[in-house]
Amino acid sequence: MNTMLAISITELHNDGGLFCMVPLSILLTINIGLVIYSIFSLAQKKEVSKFVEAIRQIGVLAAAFGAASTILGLFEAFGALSRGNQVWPFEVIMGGMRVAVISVMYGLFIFCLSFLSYIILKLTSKNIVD
Amino acid sequence: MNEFLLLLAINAALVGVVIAYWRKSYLNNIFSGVGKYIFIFLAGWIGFSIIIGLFLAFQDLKNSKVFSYQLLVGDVIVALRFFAVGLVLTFLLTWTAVRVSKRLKQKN
Repeated sequence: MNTMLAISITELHNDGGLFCMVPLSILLTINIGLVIYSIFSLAQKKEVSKFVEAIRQIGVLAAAFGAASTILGLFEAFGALSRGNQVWPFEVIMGGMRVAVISVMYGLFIFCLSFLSYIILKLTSKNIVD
Repeated sequence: MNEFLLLLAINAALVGVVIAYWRKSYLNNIFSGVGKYIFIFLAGWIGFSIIIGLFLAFQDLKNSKVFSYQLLVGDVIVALRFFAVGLVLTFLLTWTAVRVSKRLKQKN
């Protein structure tokens, strides 16, 4: 746990690869924006079902993109390992695996955050609108 | 190792509580339309906990250079802690959904 805390989020973001992590960060930003907008709309007793559904869909998209990125990363890593004639050190392979799971971890984090927001907003809107 | 066993017991108890409460609420059909999504959230959280454990295990194995059983148990403990948080969140969400449903029924 201490090791986990020691790693900064920026470092993880860079380690995961910008091609995979930047789209996920964009999805997270959009979702945070939608959540804030929905909260303000609910405070004014407006209909928010469209935005709440969008939050859920973006969460699913983030999880799928994270999983696809990890599979692509593993595919490339195993390809590189099979092409090389030398025996790679254990820590190099483990380092590659660590990097490969970063994007799926980020995607699932966004997924969980989105579903949590979705359920809470849906329950709140039912309570307020009904 | 004590923490590992304690966490296992806590998680088993939480799983029992969540399943019992979830099943009872589901059978009574008072879930306010979000029961399916609470279940999906729990599934996503379990996946997230497993991936966190894997990430830490790979990181420790990379840094330590030697396979160590104790390191891996430490990582499993972290994953179990995450898992417990997810179970508590699921229970709270289910409880809130049931409360909202009951209130709506009373209004109608």
